[in-house]
Amino acid sequence: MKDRMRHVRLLGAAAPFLLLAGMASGQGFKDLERQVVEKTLPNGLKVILLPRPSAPVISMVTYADVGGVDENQNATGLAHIFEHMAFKGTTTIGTTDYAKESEAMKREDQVFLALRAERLHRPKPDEAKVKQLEAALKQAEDDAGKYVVPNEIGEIIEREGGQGLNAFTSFDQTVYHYSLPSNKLELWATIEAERFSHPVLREFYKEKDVIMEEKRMGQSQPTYRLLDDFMPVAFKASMYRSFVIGHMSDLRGISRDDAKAWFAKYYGAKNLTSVIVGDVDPATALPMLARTLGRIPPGEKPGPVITEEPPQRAEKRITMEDPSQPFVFIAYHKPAITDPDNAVYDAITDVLAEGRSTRMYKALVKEKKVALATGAFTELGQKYPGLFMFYAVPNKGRTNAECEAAIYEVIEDLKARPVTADELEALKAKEKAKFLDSIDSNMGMAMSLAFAENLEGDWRETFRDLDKIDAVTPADIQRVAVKTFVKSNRTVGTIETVAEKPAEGPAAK
Amino acid sequence: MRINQALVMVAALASVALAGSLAAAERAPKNPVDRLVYPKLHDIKPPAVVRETLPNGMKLLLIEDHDLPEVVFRALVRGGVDAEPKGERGLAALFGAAYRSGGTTAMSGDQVDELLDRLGAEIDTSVAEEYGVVSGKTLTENLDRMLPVYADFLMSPAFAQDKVDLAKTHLRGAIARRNDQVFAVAGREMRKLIYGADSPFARQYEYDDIDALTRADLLAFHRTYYRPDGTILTAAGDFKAGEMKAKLAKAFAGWKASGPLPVIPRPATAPTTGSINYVEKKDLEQTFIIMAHLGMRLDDPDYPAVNLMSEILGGGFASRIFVNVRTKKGLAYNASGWTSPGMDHPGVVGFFTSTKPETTAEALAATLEEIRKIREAPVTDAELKRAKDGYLNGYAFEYDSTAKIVDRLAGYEFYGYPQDFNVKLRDAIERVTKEDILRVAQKDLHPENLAIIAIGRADQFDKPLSTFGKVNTIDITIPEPKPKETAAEATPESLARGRTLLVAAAKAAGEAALAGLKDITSEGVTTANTPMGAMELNGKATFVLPDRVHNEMVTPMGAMVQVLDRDAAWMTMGERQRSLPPSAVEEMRSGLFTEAGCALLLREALAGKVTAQALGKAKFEGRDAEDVQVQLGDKPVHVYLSADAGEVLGVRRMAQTPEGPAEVVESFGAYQTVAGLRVPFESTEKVKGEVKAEIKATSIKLNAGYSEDLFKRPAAAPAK
Repeated sequence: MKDRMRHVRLLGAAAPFLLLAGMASGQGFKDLERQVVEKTLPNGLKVILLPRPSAPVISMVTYADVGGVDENQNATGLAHIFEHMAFKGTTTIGTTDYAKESEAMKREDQVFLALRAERLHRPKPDEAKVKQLEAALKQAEDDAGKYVVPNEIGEIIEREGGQGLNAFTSFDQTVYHYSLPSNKLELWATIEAERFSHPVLREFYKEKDVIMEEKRMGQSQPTYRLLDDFMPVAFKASMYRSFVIGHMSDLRGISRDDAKAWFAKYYGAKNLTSVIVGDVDPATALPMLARTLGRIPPGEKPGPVITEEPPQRAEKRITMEDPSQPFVFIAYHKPAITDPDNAVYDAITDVLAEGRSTRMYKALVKEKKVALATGAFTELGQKYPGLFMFYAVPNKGRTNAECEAAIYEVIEDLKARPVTADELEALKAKEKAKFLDSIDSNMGMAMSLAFAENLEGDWRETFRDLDKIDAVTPADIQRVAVKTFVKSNRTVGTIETVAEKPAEGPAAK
Repeated sequence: MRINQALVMVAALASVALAGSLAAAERAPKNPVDRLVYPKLHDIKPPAVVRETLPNGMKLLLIEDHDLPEVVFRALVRGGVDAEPKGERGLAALFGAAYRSGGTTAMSGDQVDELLDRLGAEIDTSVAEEYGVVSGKTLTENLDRMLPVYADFLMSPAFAQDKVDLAKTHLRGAIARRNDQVFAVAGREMRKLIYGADSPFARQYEYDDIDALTRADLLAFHRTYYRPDGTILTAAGDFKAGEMKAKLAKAFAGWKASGPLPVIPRPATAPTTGSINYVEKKDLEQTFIIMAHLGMRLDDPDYPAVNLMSEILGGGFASRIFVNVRTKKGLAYNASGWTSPGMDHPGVVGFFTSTKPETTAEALAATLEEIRKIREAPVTDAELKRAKDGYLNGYAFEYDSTAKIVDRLAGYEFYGYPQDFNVKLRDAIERVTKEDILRVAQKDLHPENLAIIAIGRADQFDKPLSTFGKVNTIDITIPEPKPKETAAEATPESLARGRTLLVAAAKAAGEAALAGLKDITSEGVTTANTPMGAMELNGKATFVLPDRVHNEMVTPMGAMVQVLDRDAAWMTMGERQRSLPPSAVEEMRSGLFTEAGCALLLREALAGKVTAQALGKAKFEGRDAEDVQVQLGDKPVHVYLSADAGEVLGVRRMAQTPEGPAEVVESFGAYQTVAGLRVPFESTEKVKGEVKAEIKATSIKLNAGYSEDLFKRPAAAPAK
C-alpha cells in the first residue's frame, strides 16, 4: 500500500555460466536460470516459479502491468487508489452481508456523485448544499460500514505468518507482494484469485482520506516536494510528469466507478504476472495455481500509451525555495529500458557513481569536497523513455552551483577520457556483486524476475544483464555520453534554502 | 476455523453491533480461505554454527552457506556511544565516519577504495550505541585478497588526518540537515525525553563538539576498545569452517589484548515522566505525533506478553489503532504502536501517527483512547490467537537468511543471552494468556507517563495541544558553531610584548607576594544560576599552590565538598562520595591558573615560564583591554589586562562544561590588597554568554596555612 519509488534497477545480472567460470564453489547458485519454471495459464496469466528450498518460506509477487503512466486528466492517482482498494476484500472476504453492503455502497456512490457535482458547480457551489451532501455521505458511509469486517485480508495473512504484506505503485507498474511459510502457498493463491476476480472497493471514500494523508506525509519530505515539482518540468507530454500519487483535486474527485473501470481495464489475467520464489514444488503448485489464479477473468492486454515525449528544445530549470538544506538533481532524457544502449547507461552509472573510487564520488566527495553524497540512477520510469538522473547533497557551506559545476566536469571528462581497464574491471566486479545481492533473498529474486518479464519482455533478461554489460566498450560509453549529456537535453532542479516562511492559513486558535 | 473468532474480535473492538459479528460467523463458510487445509510445514533446518575462541580472546561464529559464492564478515566490538569520554560528544560518530575512509597503517583509504571496487568487495564501519561494527563482503574467489585488508581495519586503522577532516565536514553536513527529515526529528526528540539528552541512547552532537575532536581522540578510542577480547567476529558464506578458522587465526595472530577490558559505565534509566511537547516545523503538511515511554528488556519475563499486547494494539492491519485511526476514521496513513525492547537496558514502548493539522487532536485522542482501553478489559480470545498465530506462524522467517541467523547469534553472544533465546521466547509467547496481557497492560503501559511529541504547525491544529496538558515547546534550532579564531601568526615582536605585558601585570599585582605565595584561603558567597533557579551558597575555598584545592559549599542538600589533590579529585556530599573521572580532573587542573586573579599564571610569567602572545587592544566586558593569548598545554586561552596592564580583567577560554565544550569567560573585579598582593574580591563566570555564577568574597587570606586533613579522602561509603 506504500507508494514507494522503486529503485530496483534491473539488477545488473550475470549469466550464470559466465560467473561459474570463476566461482565454482557456490553450489546452490548453479543452474538458477534452468530451475525457473514458467507457465501461462489458459486465462493468460503468466506464472513464474523458482524453487529454492533452503528454508520453508516463500515470497510472492503479483505484478500488474499498469502504473501512473497510464493515467489521464481528472484521474491522476487512480493506479495507486486501486492498489489500496485491492486490500479491501471481496464479495466473501471483509463483509458480514454482501447483499446489504452492496446496496449501502450504491447509496454512498449516489451521494458522492451529487456532492462532486455540487463542489464543481460553476460559477460557484451552493455551500449549504455541499454541507448537506457531506453529512449525507458521512451517513451513507456509516451505513455501509456496518457490514464491513475491517482489513480482513491483512488480518488473515498476518495471522498465518505473512511477512512484509504490502504493495507499491510506480510510474510503470503496480506490485503486490509478501512472504509466507511455504505450506501456505494456497492461501496466497486463493486471496490473489479472489481479489483480482471480484474485488469489492469498500470503504472507498474513507480510504481516499487515508491516501490524501499519505500524500501529505510525502509532501512533508523535502526531496519528495522537489521531485513532485521537478517531473512536470522534465516531461511536458509523458505522464511520467505526474508523480504517481496524484493531485489532491483528483484524489477528491475520483469515484468508486472510476476505480472499478480501472480494474476492469487493467487487471485482466493477461495483464498480470505472478512470481513465486522459495520452498515451492512446481509439480504440486502448478495445478493448484491453475485452479486458483486460473479463475481470474482474462480481460484484454491494454495497449501501450500513445503519447511520446517530444525532444527537448532547451535546458529547463526549477528552483524550489524551501526551509530545508540544498539539494540538486540533474536529469537527461534517455531511451526506454528496451533500447539497445540500456546496458551502456547501466555501465555509466557504475563507472560514475557506484563505489568510492568512481569518478563522481572521487571528484565531488573526496577531492573537491563539495558534496556529502552524490549518485546517479535511471529507474524513475523505465518502460517508456525516462531520465538519467544525477544528484548531489552539498556539504555545509557549499552550494548547489558548485556541485552542479563539478558534475558537469565529470560528465565532460567522461566524454573526453575513455574508461580505463581498471574502471572496466571494477564495473564488472560490481555487477557481479549486485547480481548476487539481488538473488540473495527470495523477494529480491521474485522482483527481478517480475520486472524483467514485464519491462523487458522476458524474465530471462535477469540472467543476461551481465553479458550485456560485458559487451559494453569504452567507445560505447563515450558515444552514449556524447549523445545524451548535452545541455539542451537536461533539466536541473534544486532546493535553495530560505529562512522559514511565516505560517500560512488561519491564525492561531 | 480461526477466522470466526477473529471476526468476533474485530467486530467487538470496533464497536460494531454484535449482530454484525454473528452474521459474520454465519457467513464465514463462504469465505474460500476457510476451506483451506495446509500441509505440514517443512522442517526448519538451522545451519550448523561453529563457535571458537582464538588464543587472543576473539570470539568467532562461523556458518557455512554455499548458496552463493560469497563470504560476509561482521565484527561487533564492545564500546560505542556509551564509551565516549565525557565531553567528547560525537566521538563515536566521527570514529565511525573516519574509520573506513581513513585507511589502515598498511594502505591509504583511497588505495582501499580502489582495491575493493576492483574486487567488487565491501568493507564498512559504523558505531552504534553500545558497539562498533566492522563489516565486509567479498566474492569467495577474492577472499584471500580481501581478508588481510579487513583484518587490518580491526587491528590497525590509520585515521588519516585528511579523512578525519573530511569526516568532520560530513558530520557538519549531517548536523545542518538533521531537521530536514521529520521522522529523524521525531525519533531523536523521543529518545531525549525517554533517556535524557546526555544518555548514549539519545546523545546529540553539535558543530562545536565535532570541531573539538581530534585524530588523537579517535586513535585513543581505538586503542582502548578495539581489542580481540572485546570482539565477536562472525563469518557466513561459502567456506569450510575449519579452513576459515585457520585463516582468521592467522590473520589476527598479531592482535593482542593487554590488561583487563575497560569498564564502560551502564547508562542510568528512569521511568518516563508524562509530558506534552510541541516542535514547530512549518514545512510539514501533517502533524507527526509520537508518544513513548521507557519500556523493558528483551529478557524480561513479561516481554512475551508485552510483545503480544503491543501487536494487538498497534502491530498490523488488524490492530486496534490501525483499524480505528486509519481504516475507520481515515485520519492517517501511518497509525501504529510498537515495543522495541533493549538487550541490556530498558527499551521503548511507543505509538506513532501523522495526520493533517486540522485533525491533530482528534488523531491523538483516538490513539490515546485505544491505549487506555487495553488496560481496562482483557483482550478477546480471537485477538490473542491472531497475535500469537502471527508470531508462531512467522517463526520460520527467523531462519530464512544466514545473515539474519548469524546477526542474531552474535547479538546474543554480545549481550550474554543464551544462543537458543529465540526458541525460549517462542515457547514463552505460546504460553501467554489474556490475563497476562491485561496484567502487563496495567503494569507496563502507562498512558499518563507518555512523552507526547507533536511536530508541525500549531496554528492549524483543531484544538490546542494544551487540551492534553501543559505544553513544553522544544526548540530544534541548530546551534551555530562558535566563530573560529583566526589566531594571528606569532611574531617575535608579539611574543615579546605578550611577555612584557604579563610581567607588568605581575609586578603591579605584587612581585614579592607572588613569589612567596603558598596558599590562599577565601570565604564568601556564590550565587549560582542553576536549572532550578538562582541559589546562594556560602562557601570556603583553600587553594594550595600549585595544584591542590579544597572547596566546601553549603547547599540546600547539605555540605558539598570538592577536592583536587594533584592528580586525583573527588566529591563528597553527606555520606556519599565519588571519584571524579580523569576528564574532570583534567578540567579542574586546567582552570587553576585563573584563581585569585590569575596569581599562578602571573607568578609563572615572572619566572619566564609562560608563552604569551600580545594580540593587541580589545574590548573585554565593555572595558578597554590588552588581549594576551597564553598557551597552556595545547590550549590557547585569552587573558585580558587593563589598558595600563595594571590589573587582570579576566580570562576567556574553551572549557568542558556540563553542556559540553563551551566558551567560558571569567571576569574579575573589586580588587583589594591583601598581604601585599592585589586580589579580586569579586568574580563572574559566564558560559556561552550566560552568567552561571557570581562570587563575592568576604575574606581572603594568604599563606594562612591549612590542615592536611582537608586532602584526606574519607573512607568511601558505597555509592548509591
